[in-house]
Amino acid sequence: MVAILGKLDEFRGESKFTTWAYKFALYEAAATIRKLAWQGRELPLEAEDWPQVPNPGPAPHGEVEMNDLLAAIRQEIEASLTPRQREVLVALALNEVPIDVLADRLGSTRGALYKTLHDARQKLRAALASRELTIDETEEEDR
Amino acid sequence: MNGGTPTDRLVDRLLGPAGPELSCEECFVQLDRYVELELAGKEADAAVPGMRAHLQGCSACAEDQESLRALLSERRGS
Repeated sequence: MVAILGKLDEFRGESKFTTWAYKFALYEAAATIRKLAWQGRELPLEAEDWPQVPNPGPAPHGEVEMNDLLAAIRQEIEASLTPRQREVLVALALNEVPIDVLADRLGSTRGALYKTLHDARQKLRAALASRELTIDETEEEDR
Repeated sequence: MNGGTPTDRLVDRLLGPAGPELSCEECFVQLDRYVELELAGKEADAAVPGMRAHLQGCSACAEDQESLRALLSERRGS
């Protein structure tokens, strides 16, 4: 409540006041729950959980392509990203550490970490494009 | 972007959305307006460009959006 009162001058009247106030409460509640759920747990920051790619053999065409793409992504994570980008991408996208939890442990913020994640993703997309390996955007929208 | 096999979903998380997207800060500023537009059946994605892509790429902001939407829907129904 105190946090919301401190933000009153930011209310721009583009939604109902109650909707605006709820978003602060929900934001704080969700972040607190995620942090409690991870309290005392060691954060997996290393790439240990890559799925096993099936052995070569009969497989649906799309599955083979996706496994090739995943293998290329693994290579580019090592080759193209900075250590910080790699750490953030692996923790958030591969190991699914909640972003608020990672921000707390690294002394950062959700916004700053998402910017790092975004930059890492852009680098990976560019690296894959230079290898002529991209996700079909139509297929991507369908998923 | 959230369907498909576990490998599809992993690739989605690793590569993120293809198009331009809002930052987390911009998303938070626009979230109340966006959800109200959604619930009113208006063109929320056109009114807030980059929001849909961000919600596809950021699971924490997507959770906030779903929670706010669910809360407002419930209150409207009560």
